[in-house]
Amino acid sequence: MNITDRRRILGPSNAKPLVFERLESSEQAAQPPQEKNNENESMYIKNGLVSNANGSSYLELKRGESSEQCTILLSSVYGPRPSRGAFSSKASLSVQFKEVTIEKIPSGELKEICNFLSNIFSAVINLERYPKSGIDIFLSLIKNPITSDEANLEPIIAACVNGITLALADAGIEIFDTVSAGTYKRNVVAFSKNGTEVVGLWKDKEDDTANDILSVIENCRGNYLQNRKGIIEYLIRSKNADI
Amino acid sequence: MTESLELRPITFHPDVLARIAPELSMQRHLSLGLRPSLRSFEEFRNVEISDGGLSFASNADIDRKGNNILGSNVLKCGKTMVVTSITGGIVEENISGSRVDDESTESSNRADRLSRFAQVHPVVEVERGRVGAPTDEEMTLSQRLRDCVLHSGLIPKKALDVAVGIRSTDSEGISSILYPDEEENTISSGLKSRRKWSYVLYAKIQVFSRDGPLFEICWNSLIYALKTTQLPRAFVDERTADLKIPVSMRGRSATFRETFDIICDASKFQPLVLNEENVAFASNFAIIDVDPETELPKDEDEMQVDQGGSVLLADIQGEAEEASVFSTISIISSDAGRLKHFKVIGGGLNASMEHLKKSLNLAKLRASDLSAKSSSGDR
Amino acid sequence: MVLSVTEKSYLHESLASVPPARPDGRKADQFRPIEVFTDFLPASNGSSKVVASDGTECLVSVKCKVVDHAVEEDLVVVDVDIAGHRDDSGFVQGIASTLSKVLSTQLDRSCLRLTKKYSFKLYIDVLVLSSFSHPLTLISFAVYSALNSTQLPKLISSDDDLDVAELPTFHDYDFVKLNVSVPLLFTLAICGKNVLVDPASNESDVANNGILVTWNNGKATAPIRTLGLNEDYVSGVSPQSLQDSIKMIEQVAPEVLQALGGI
Repeated sequence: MNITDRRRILGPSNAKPLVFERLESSEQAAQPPQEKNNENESMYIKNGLVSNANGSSYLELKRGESSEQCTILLSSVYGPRPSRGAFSSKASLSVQFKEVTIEKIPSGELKEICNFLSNIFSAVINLERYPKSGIDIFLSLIKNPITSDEANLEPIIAACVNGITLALADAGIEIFDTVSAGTYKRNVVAFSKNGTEVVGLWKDKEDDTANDILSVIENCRGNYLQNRKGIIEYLIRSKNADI
Repeated sequence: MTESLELRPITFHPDVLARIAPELSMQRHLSLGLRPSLRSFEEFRNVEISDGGLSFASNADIDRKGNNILGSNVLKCGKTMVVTSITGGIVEENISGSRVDDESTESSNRADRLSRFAQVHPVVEVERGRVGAPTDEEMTLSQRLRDCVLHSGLIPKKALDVAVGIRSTDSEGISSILYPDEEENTISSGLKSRRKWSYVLYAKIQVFSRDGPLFEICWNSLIYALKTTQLPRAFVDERTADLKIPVSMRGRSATFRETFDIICDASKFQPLVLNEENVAFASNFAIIDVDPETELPKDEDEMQVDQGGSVLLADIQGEAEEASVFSTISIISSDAGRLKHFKVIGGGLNASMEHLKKSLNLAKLRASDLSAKSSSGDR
Repeated sequence: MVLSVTEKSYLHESLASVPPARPDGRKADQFRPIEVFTDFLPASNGSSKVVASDGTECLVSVKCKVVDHAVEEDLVVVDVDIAGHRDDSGFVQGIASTLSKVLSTQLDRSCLRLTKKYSFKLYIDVLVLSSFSHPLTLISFAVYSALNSTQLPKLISSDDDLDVAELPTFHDYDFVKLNVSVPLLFTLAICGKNVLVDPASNESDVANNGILVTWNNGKATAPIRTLGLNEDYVSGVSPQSLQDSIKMIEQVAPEVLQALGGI
């Protein structure tokens, strides 16, 4: 299986990627901010940046003081738009995730994230309201704070959940609740109904939270409430600004 | 008994009219001396640029591990947003001993002129809410960008040569890196003569909110990104520099193979040296015939647009303009007026000399405006 | 079999009732009977076939290669092929990615260590011939039994080859059994407040959500995550159900391991 891609300009085939020298000292210095969770986290939200999508949201998450630990995610929602083919009584949902600048996340894991997110939002979007249509969600990760070789996916997944909720609100697509996600250590939990229901749980790395899933959920809930507050405040503010 | 048939004129909201009859809407606007975007004929959109803080060299205290972006640019032009990131690779070339000396003798014919310049490898992606293979537009854009960078002579090949340093570790375990251009005659030339490394630049251009032709916006973003590009210093380790590894394949003849692991210095980098006089910016123009018949009946004292002639519009934007314009001009010009690319597509044969001259002048003005932006953005 | 809306609604009600009434009469923590065959592919180092009672069939083959572990970081490669699904579909790639991540991070690399320079690299090929329900549990059982029946060539040269330019040589016919602890992945369905282990296809169709729980070295470990089993009935679940599902796996996993170990 060696098919050359003729549709893109790929450059010379013998080119090797740049290998950077390992700086041991900075590696250790970068470790502590990751451990510190949810502190001084600020969220900048702007809706409607992508004009040819039905709804979009721009999310900038800063952790701590440094501007470098920053996640920028642009989510856009296309739809509901007519889907061809057989009749379906409800809308079909698809989620696509792409890294716009640095490509670090293996494609298989991107697919896992997409599956996970579409499972969450199947539960949240009122799909029955849009028969014979498709709702497509595109996520573009513009800036990624990961510094080590191993991708730290959890904050990204949480940002995706929050970003999609905002974009859906911007598109005017009916959702049952403003779903938002909270992270705690290496866990992400997406909640609905004021934190009484879990719509998504992602625990990919073993950490010291062991098997006490309830306390993990409890810890994520605090972060969820904080994120949801930010989302709702933004939506109310932007609505008032429109009037 | 005949029922009286009544004909009523239908009126549409401007947005609706623009959708169902873009040409009519366009002509109505033109007759008012405006364009559908409410800009005047020769007015460009404002452009905002930043480097987005994406590249590894953009901030000193960023941990560079895992970030291989050498240069970046985020350009906003109206609603359209373009994110360009430049990444790199290294190619190794084996050069025969004779060619090393030939490099200084430059012949003037055209093929050789091109061989002195390097290209970038752009991949343009336009977000349009669909997945799948690149569209025709994306493919043509990438190809045109590549060709224009090469032919404009923006990047001299020399700028991409890797001056390979050597890392040596002394007896106390402290390693130091020597670069050939920093300290002269300390490095044996034996390594350099047989092999040559050069950087390859890739550009990933992501476009959001497409609103009109993209080539010029992508080009400008690419130029800004190249201007911020920093190339890391690279070195080989002393221990591997003279390494010869015997490869014996059970019974078959033994061959010697040299491998060099080029490692990039994570703390030292140099800006990519561009041919400054070849830095040029792009702008596009449309020529459209004004159809006097579509004009709204106007009052006597209202401003008259030149009747029936054609007008030059700068910076095409929006569905209405794209759909109703058949003659376009695309110009890449430097602020000094050096033309790098000039393309006229004429559907209506209305591209008069006057329009061409005017567009060239405007392109030059635009280029000096845009290049001022990049220098002010740097500081 | 595709169920009608009414049938689904009825099934959902019965699964959500207390105690759950499963269509095949199983208890909430009861698995479907499976048949396991091992070591039947002569060309691979280890193989297994698992057939579930609903006809879902999964074949796993394990092959090995000797690699320089300083050069190749990944010592486990997993390839998944599911009949009836495109290889590039999110479903197949998601399963493949989950499996390869679990296996490559949780398998003990020292078990694959051959000499100081070389290691075995395992190629695990998974083929699901016919799948009716979410095949992850079954694949995981098959991978478990295949890896536990894997025989690796026996090394006869020295295992300290750091300073010797020598390739490892092997015994002509003797093999050594691969001894490694293999993680198991369980899928559970949540219907209402009930947690059901090993959901059949019709149960998956009406589940409110699915959970993936991994079991390794005597405890439930990551990845633990929600998993979409259908698109119609999916909804939020209470945190207690998540807790219940992990508890249930803690209960049944040792028995499952015992059963698989007896083969």
